This record gives sequence, structure tokens and C-alpha cells, in this order.
Amino acid sequence: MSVTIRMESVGYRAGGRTLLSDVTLIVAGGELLGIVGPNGAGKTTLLRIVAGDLHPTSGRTTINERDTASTKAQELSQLRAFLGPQGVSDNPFTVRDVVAMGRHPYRRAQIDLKDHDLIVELAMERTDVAHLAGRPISSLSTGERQRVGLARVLAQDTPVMLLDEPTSALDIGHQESVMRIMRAAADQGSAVVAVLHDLNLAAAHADRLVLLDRGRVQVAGAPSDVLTDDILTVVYRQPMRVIPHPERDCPLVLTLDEK
Amino acid sequence: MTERIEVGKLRTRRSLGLAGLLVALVGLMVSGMLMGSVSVGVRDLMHAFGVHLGFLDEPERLTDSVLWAIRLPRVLAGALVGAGLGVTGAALQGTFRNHMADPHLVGLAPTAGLGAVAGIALTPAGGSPILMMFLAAVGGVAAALLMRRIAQQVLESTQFLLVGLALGLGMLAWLGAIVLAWDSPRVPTFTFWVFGGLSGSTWTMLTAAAPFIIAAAVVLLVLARPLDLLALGETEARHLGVDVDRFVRVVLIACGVGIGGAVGLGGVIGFVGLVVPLILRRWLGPGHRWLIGLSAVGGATMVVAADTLARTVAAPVEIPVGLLTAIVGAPVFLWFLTRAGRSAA
Repeated sequence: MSVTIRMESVGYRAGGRTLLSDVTLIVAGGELLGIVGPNGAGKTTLLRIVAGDLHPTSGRTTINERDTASTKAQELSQLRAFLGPQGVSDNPFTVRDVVAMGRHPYRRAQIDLKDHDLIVELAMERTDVAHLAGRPISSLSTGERQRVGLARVLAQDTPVMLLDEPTSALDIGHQESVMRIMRAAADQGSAVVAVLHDLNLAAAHADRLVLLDRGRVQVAGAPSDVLTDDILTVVYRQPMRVIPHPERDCPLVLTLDEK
Repeated sequence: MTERIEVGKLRTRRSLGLAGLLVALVGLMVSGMLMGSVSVGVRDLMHAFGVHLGFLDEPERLTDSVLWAIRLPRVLAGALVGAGLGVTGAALQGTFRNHMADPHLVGLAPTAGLGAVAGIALTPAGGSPILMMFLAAVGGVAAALLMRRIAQQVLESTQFLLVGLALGLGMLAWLGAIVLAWDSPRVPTFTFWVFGGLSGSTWTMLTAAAPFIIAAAVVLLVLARPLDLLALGETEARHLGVDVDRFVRVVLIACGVGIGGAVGLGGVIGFVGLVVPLILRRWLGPGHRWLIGLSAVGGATMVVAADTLARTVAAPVEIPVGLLTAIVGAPVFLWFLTRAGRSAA
């Protein structure tokens, strides 16, 4: 089961503004791709176009040759899972109920009920929410909700995982563990695309980064090619320095004072 | 507002709720048949069933025909109308993600009433109950789909309810104008369209309305699971494979059809579709399969109880059944409103 996401000169306009223009991108199974860039760069728009939530005003986006703008919800739900920055929205169900909803795409498949339950329990354990299983979502913190959302994405078990700032509300320990979960999913053949604000998290874990600014891809490539002093200083309008990570084989991004 | 209910406790609550409501419903239906101007006993009731179902080869007594032709269709109508109001209330609250959305408050029932009157007007003397139910269903469906459009434009839930209320009052005004100006014995009185009434429940009306209500209940029960997903919001539901626009349309059509049958048979009865799911949601948690299923039984119980009271407390005068459901339902609703306000603050 190999998977390919293909974006061909995708543009998106809304309310007279161009939010994304001429984005061409191919992501293959096995890859963990980080989308980085300043606020308003179009990162979430890009992710939602891949998810099929937004329909591009030019170009097209496909997952395994299926156009995400015209593929039915049921079929899409077996191709891609999506995690929003809030994890799961406020609702009265329990954590276990919500993670089990990740199995909804397969309700008509020939799968034993026990296997569904097993997948759900496993997903909750991997994201460290098993101890919250009986709690209603409304009683959780934002960080806990984010991990519940990730558990549901894992339970959905799709070849494409789309994550919008999956670590934004997490403590450092959970940030690293979530990145490791994404890494493992990629290693098992999924194509994982994550919008990340933390450049060091992106540098340490992603195979490849796409730096967006004002709706355009500024640079794409290995973290060490994308994260450079000059590029970051210009794009973020903030003096930056990139040095080699003392332990890991990746760049380390530091902010500097304004001159 | 939601408390933690453990899984084991939830199972107990579901079985208890179902068993309790079923016992209450059957008990109320039996006592509803025994009470009235002609007093009958359990023995008469069994005699009537025996004669009419062919177990007893005895001549028909007066009580047999009272029970079979008047009281049995009436309690069945009460149960059917209540079940229809209960399931549509639960489903509407889920679809609009608004616990105060109710077939009456968001305008479905009055619009269905207008459809029913149009049905009576369009048929020659004698009338066609099925056409009347059908046009009532058309009215209910139209109002439901219109409210969906409104919900997509106004995000604020109070504003949504006010629009529904205005729609309902507008429809009621037209309904009133037509009924009062026409002043025909063929049309039920204005009171029927405002506070309901089950005195016209004949076998003919019952069999005309039943398919509408039962079909709606079955469809809504089948669609209960995706309704759970909708509680996460339309975007998340779509991510999990629900074709939201199509799904919501089917649910709303089912609600409109169910309300059409309920209004055509029992008039506009308020508060049942509102308070029954509200109470049951607290008891059973948010899962829609049990919520919709038990709302059918709970709604039926409430209307049968209210109707029995309505025709006995002030006999020989009959009180409109909707007055009694409002007398009980309004304080319950207010209690919920103030509680929700406090816990949200």
C-alpha cells in the first residue's frame, strides 16, 4: 500500500484575497513532511485543501489519483485523517467514544468488533490518554484534547495523516512523543503532513520541510537546506541564527535580538 | 453540564430507563382505556379484546364498542403522536446541535399544521386523511429544510431559535386566519392547531398517520450513529466519512415526515419534543441510538398520560392535551435553562 499526495499548481482565493498560489508538491508514503512559515502564510489552507475541506480555485490535489475536491466523504475518510489545532471540538462524549469514532469509516467493513476495540485501546495507549478513557471531552485540557485527537487519527488508520499544529498545546515531553508517533506512522508507510510552528521540532523530526510565506512556497527541501540564517531572518522578519544541533544530526534554530 | 457516567452505570441506566418507561407506557395505556364517562373494568377490557380479536364468541356489548372504537384508537394515537414528537425532538436537537431545538419551537409543527389544513381544503367533503397527512409532512419538511438554511447563516443558537419561533408564529397566524375565516365543520378548531387534541382519533386517522410516524422513527433510529459524529461539528464529521449535507437533509426530511403525521393526528402539542429528550439526555448520556429510542417511548408515555388527564380531570369538559404538556413541560424547560445558564457561567 503505497500512497502519493500530489498538488499541481494549486491556488486558492477567498474574499478577494489570494491565500495560496501555485503550490506544487508531491508527498510519498514513508515521508514526514513539515509545513512551516509565519502566521497567515497559508499553511492551514494548504492542509485543508489536501483534506478536501477546501476546494482549490486553480490546480488540483489528489491522493492516489483521487481528486480530494470531488471524492466522496466516505471514500476520503479511508484515505486521510485530519487533526485540527484544537484536537477534538467540545462535545459531550467520552474520550473512548470519540476515539472509537475514528473507526466509523470502516463500519461496513468485515472487521471483528474486538479488532475495532483493540485498535481503539492501542491508539489511546500510544497517545497516553488511556487513563482518560471514561472522561467526557468537555472536562479535558487543550493538550489532552490534542492527544485524544491524535488517538482518533491513529484509530482511523489511513495512509495519509494531516495534522495542523499537533503539538501546540503540549508539554515538551508530549511534544517529542507525538513527533515520534508521527515518525513511526511514516516509517510504516503513511504520508504524514504536519503544520508546525516550532522550527526545532520540525528540524529534528521531519524528513523534508516546506516553507510557506504569503501563500507561496519559498523553499522546500531537507531541514538543513530550508532552515538557514538568511531565509528565516527574511521570512519571519526576525534576526535568526541556525547552528548544528550538539547531539542530533539536525539544525538548531535560535532567535537573536533585533540589531 | 454533562457529568461523568461510567460505562457500567450507563448500561444499567439504559435498561432501567427502557424497562421503566415501557411499564409506565403500558400501564398508562391500560388505565387510559379504563377511565372515562362510561366506567369499565379490566374484565370489560379483556372482553372487548376477546370479541374483537375473535377469541370470544359472544355478542358485542356497549362497553366493547366504546373501548374498541373510541378509547383504543385514542390511546394508540396518543402513544403514536408522543413517539413522533419524542424522536423528532431528539433528532432535531442533534442535527442543529442545539438542545432547545424542538419541532414546535423551530417552526416545524405549525408549518405542518398549515399543510394539514391545505390538505383538508383541497379534498372534497369527507376528506382524505392520507392526503392531509401527506401535506402536513410536506409542510414539516419545508420548515425543517428552511431552518437548515437559517442555521447555516446564523451561528448563534439563540438567534436561530428566535427565527424558528418567528417562523412558527407566522405560520400559526396564517393557519388561524384560514381556520377562523373558513369556519367549516370539516376543519378542526383553532384550539386543535395551537394546543392539540386527540378527541378525533378514529381508526381511519390512526392508520393514515401511523406510516408517516413509524417510517420517520425507523429512519432516525438507523441514522443515530452518524448523528453522534455530528456532535463533533460538521467538519470533523466529514473527516470521519459523513457526507454531512446529504445526511442532514435525510434526517430533516424524516423529522418533517414524522411531525407531519404527529400534527395531522394530534394537532400541535408543545413541549413533548423538547423536555423528553432533555431529561433522557441527562439520564442516558449523549449517544443518539438510545436517546432516540427512549425518546419514542418517553414521548408516548407523556402524551398518553396528559391525554388521559385532559379528558378526565374536568369531565365532561375536555381540556386540550397541549395545555397539560405545557403546564408540566414549561417549568421543566425553565429549570433546564437556568441550570445550563448557571453551569456555563
